Amino acid sequence: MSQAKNNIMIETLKNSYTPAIVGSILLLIFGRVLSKGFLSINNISSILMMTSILTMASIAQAAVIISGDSGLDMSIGAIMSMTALFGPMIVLQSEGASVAVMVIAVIVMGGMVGLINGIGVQFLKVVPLVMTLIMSSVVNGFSIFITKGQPAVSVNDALLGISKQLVGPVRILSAIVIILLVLLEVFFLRKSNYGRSLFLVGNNTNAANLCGINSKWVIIFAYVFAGAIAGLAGLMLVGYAGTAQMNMASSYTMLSVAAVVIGGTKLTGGKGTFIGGALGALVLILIATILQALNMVAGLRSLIQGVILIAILMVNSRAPKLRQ
Amino acid sequence: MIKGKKVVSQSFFPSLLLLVIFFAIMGVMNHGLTLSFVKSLILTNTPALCLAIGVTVTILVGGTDISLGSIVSLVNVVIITLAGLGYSITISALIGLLVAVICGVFNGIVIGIMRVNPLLTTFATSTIYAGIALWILPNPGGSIDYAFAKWYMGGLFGFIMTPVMLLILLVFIWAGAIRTPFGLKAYALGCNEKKAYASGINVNGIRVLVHTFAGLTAGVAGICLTATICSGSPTVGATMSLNSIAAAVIGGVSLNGGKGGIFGAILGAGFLSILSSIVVAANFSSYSQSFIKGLILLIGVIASILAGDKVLKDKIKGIFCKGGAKS
Amino acid sequence: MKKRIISIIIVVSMIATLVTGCGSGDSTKNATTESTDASEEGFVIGFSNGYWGNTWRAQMVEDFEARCEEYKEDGIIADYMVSNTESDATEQLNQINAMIDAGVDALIIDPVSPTTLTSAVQSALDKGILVVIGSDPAAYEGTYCVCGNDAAFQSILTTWICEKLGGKGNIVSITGEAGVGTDILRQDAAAEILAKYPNIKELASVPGRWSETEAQSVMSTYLSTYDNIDGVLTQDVMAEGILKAFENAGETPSLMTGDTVKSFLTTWSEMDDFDSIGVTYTCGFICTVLDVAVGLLQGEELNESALVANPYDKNLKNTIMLDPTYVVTREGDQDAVWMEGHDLSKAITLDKALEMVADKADTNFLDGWLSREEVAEAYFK
Repeated sequence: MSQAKNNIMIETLKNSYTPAIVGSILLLIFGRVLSKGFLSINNISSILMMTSILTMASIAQAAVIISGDSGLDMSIGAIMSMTALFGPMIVLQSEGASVAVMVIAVIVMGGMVGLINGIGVQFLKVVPLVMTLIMSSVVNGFSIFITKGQPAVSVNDALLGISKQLVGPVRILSAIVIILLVLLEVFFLRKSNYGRSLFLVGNNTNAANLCGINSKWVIIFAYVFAGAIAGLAGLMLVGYAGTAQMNMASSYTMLSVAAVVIGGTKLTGGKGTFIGGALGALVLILIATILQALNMVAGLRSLIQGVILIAILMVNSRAPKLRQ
Repeated sequence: MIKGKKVVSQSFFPSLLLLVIFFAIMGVMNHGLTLSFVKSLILTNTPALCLAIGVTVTILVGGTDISLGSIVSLVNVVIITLAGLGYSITISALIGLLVAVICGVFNGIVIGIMRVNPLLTTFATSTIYAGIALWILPNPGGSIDYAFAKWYMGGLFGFIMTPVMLLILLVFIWAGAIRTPFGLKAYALGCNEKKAYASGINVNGIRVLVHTFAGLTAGVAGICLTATICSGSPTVGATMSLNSIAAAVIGGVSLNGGKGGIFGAILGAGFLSILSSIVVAANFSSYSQSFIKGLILLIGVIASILAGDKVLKDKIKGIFCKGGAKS
Repeated sequence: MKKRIISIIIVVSMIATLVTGCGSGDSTKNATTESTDASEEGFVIGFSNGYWGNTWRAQMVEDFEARCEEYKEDGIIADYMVSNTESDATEQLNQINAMIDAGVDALIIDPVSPTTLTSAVQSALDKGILVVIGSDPAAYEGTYCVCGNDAAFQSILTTWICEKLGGKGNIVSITGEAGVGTDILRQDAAAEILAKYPNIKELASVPGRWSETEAQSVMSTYLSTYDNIDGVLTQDVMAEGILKAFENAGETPSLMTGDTVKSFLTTWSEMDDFDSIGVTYTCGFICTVLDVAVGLLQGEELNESALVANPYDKNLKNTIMLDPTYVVTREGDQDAVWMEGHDLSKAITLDKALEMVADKADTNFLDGWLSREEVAEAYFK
């Protein structure tokens, strides 16, 4: 009985990934046609690294979206920028220890913002879109306030080391993210009690409550989780880029939403995967890189990105006919 | 007394209160509100007010629209380019308006007929419209006769300003529409999509119409903006989309649909504009300005939502007066 | 009724936030009553900054405030207001309106976009407020413009790289933010210089948006698309991102134009085979803008010969162009080809530059500006 269930689950999962996988392959081929060096190890590794960071952002976003009730987190970019600015400020005796403390610090920072988001959404009943949007404004203002515009310190070498090569096109950063992705998907989302409650709550809050699940806290924790992961993503971003600037991660917010949707998660909640978000991130980064390689004028690039996104949405994400 | 109660219980009351109080604070800080300041405020912020109207309309039926700012940029670019090619201002402005309406219709079709999620759709279309604007006019430039700005800043009887008239026009259109069966259907759709459909309401049609109207407001906003700056700038509307949503929410419009009205949104937009000015006039250290602005915005939104939340209100009422009558 | 209570409580808390904010800011920075009695008590200066996204801008605001404090101690300035916006043209207009209404004597504006200020400038001029456009140029009748010489800046960089390549080779360009005045002027200047070196081929030009991360991403793409890059032509704030892209690709850059951020200068000095040049577009220009504004408020007259045509309007002679303060190369050669025509710029060696930023943060830009006496001598009668 459970074997059959597993098979069905695998089948449905495969189905929602197919567009993203097919799209990525097509894009890779197209890129190779455009420019000889596209499939070179260097290029692939830089694509993988950028995808890794976007994947972290989309994991955060996916958790919130799955929690349902039109859940959305528009503060992910702001949280990333904030931890990118503050993280490297932590300096200890040993560089390795610094990084360890940094990781904990950014998770806590991001988590706190997430907590505020969650409380606003659940207790104050502010719609997630607006709550997180305004928090992003507050977080950005806070970042400016604390750093006075000048991120004070340079990034220590241990953190910069995530860009070092591991094997082939895979760098340390990409490896870390891939491992995290699989761990979170399997242990956090699918197998844990929390994961199951998350899906139930996302599907139907009332029913979940009747089953004895405290939906309020499930949802709040989703936001805390999202904030923590976004915080971590910000630290990775500054490790990759080597410096931090204000608002450097602002584009990640909407990109994470797009990535999650392309990967097959429904915006209405209750269904979705982290891996789908990662695939969506890959597609988006490939599109951006190809457009860059084509050396197009900025306006035309935006235009094409928008058109591609609409096309994907029209194929992938239509709500069912009302007649049902 | 009864009239007073009626005002207080309107959904836009919190935003009205906020606006009045912050205007008062501004007056105190600057030792008096000059007419020229209020005039400049209205002139500069009419585009934001128009967008607040447009976005409210899309929210009322249970959707949203974050592409309006990009449409404004596009309209601005179109008007300037056409004027540069020799067309008269009037024709350029009308064509700009037409472009905006077409954008709105496109939004409406994808959302209403193709049934794609409104947030994502308008995110994608905002990239498209902004891209077109940047493609047509990659660098800010061009200029039109200052006479256009003078027309905009002048007005009927030299007293009722043009932007105010344009706003009133938009409000009239919508207010008129509300009183028809269309209005009732729109609100019904916002409250519950399935039930509305079951009642035979043309859900798709309403969505298309609503986004078209939003496009129209963006067109008017684009015309006003162009008159204010008298030149073209391809990214001029970039931040306006999200600001308009915040304005609507402060104005008491519920993002779930079916509640609120454009009057509140206009007040909300007014509040946001004066917030910018106050933070500057209060001379906070420049590093804390954005932070303070964000905090005030947060409190404002929470205030509005709390004030409109029946459940929370009833809970608090229950604490204050046991079994009291509803206000 | 209860709703009203909640709303009022919340609004009161908002006002409390405002008031506390007022108090916790500098205690001297309140809109003062003496503001409108200009000449005796001191002037009130308003500064509207149109872009707030990177450390260069933050340093500029810091420099401005420090200079204002100097003037305050001398009693020449009574108060100053600073506002920043994130490239939002409408917000800048709102902020300028607020300053006009608060009663400033002079407005210094660093525009979001060179064409969006018409109504604000008009209202300011109508009220007799002095308007000086600073740092990024814009052309409006009745105003003055004190800006960095973008054309000089970019021509020095472009000439350097063409000369170093011996007039032959392939380069890739990374520009600033599309649509911003500075970027347009620099691209025009670069194109002019490149036309003089017909054997230098520009393979591609993409905006790096004055962001290290964006530049890194663009350079990565370049490295995988082209395998015959001889040199990289870029501008300020982006050099390190480009270096990072090279590092990630496992390649070493041989020739590229750089910037004058301390961390880049440090890295440069540690790489032996690497040659670069840094030209300052100093954050401190704003001090000169302030000096000019104060001078004008005090009734001084500008030297006619110091004014040149506005970059945006050849018929408007209202501009003071500030040449790059320092040109940093390993050799520090004042007579090199790329220094021709730029006599006011000082060529300094990499070592000297490092000395000058020795005790600053890594993200600090090499800074320097004319003293009040030098400004008075150079630009006023």
